[in-house]
Amino acid sequence: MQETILVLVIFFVILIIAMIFFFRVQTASISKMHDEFQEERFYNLVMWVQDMPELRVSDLLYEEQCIDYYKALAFSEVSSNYKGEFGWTNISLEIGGTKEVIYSNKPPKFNDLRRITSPVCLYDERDQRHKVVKMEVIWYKK
Amino acid sequence: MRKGQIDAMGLVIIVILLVVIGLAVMFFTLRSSSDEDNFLTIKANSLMNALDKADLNEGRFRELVGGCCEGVDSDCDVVRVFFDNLVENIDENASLYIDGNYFSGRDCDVFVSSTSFVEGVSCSASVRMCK
Repeated sequence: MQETILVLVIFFVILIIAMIFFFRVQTASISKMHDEFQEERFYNLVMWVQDMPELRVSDLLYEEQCIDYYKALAFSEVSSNYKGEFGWTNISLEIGGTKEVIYSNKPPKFNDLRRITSPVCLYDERDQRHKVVKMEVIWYKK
Repeated sequence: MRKGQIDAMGLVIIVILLVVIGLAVMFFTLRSSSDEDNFLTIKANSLMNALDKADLNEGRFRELVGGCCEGVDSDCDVVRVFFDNLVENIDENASLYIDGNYFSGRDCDVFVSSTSFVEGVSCSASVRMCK
């Protein structure tokens, strides 16, 4: 009888240790998945921004995957309303050596930041040309 | 060994086996493809899309590539100079391939390729982003 109780006690102790271990691993993996999701969202911003109707070139029924310079300028004035979409990021376009910030939301404190750049299409109405410019996205990680 | 000790050993082995199996399942289910590779594909396609529409002083980039394929040397020179300057300005390790052959830019062995555009009957161009 005593042996059986001892065996059961040892079994449950080991089981509890294993469960605690699994819960820890599970919590860590959920946290990792959350980070990966945020990272994927951050990478996809480059594509997503170019596709936004607020920024892309359009004329009546014609649309193309290219950022309109004047739309980008206008968007930068109202982009503070897009915090839910862009979060803690800074999105800018480098046009002919000058940087045009189209969205900026920098937290007062952050632990780390990630910076990515990508070439994008920009239609500049000033000289009526399609150009290849650099888009920079900075993600402030809290 | 007494009977209780043998039972305890058996249970320990069972728990260890469960832990090992659980870890193996987690390892294989939580492994994901690299986000950076996916991002390079986005970048390559974004560059190709921008090049496809780009207007140069000498004409549209797409038409100049078409002219280059037909053997117009001046068009080839314009495309080469434009692309070399572009990768310098935007600071990207990218190269331009025309009809599957290296044409200009920063070439590399490990890369992600964009979708290609086709100009004329059989002239295709694509860009490769270095990893």
